[in-house]
Amino acid sequence: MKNVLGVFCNSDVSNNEELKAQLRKKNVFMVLLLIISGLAMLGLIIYESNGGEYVGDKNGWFYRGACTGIAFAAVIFLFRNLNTIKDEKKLTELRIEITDERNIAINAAAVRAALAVMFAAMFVIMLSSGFVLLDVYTALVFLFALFMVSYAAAYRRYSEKM
Amino acid sequence: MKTRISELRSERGITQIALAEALSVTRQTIISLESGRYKASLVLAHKIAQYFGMTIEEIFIFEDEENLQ
Repeated sequence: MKNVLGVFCNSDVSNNEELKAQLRKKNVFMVLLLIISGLAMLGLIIYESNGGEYVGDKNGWFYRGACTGIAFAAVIFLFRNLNTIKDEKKLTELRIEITDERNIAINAAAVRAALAVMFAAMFVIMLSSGFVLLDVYTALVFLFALFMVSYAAAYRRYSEKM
Repeated sequence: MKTRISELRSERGITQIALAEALSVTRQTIISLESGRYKASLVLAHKIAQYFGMTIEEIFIFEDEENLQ
């Protein structure tokens, strides 16, 4: 599984300098993610210290886990990107990996397959438990609608570009 | 679609890694092109043709349904 390309790791950079600039932009995003996770944790602490209660017993722990996980991933990616920026050999290897047209084609096919599985799972959940749990039904309908609107908008944008 | 990449590479003593580096693609892409599992884009086909100093048609052999009837 060494060469599995991340869902959003494709790129059209043509040299190492462009890749460096792209990695720096990604690092800004990682720092933002770290700040947001920290703020969310801070919000949780304030909420709890003011006697706030959760809908379920485990919700607080899930929330903590999600925030910690996101922050941890952001730190890992941040340092990995910084290390790559310093090393020309690593930069070249990464550039070839993320711009390789076969890798990009594999990535697109894998995303389509994963999307089909996700939709099938969402459809099954909606049919099996959606009519009992109204919140689940509403969330799933919203996600389907969001996907359709985003797809239509993106399709139109790319149609104009190509 | 078949390709003559493997044949041309052998004739000229070029390794898959050297060709991959020259074209800025992964070695796996060269392997897939040679085995016919992956079809190169027009840009990559052009780069390969330039690398060997030949035309695209001399390297990539298009089969029946890929040609105009």
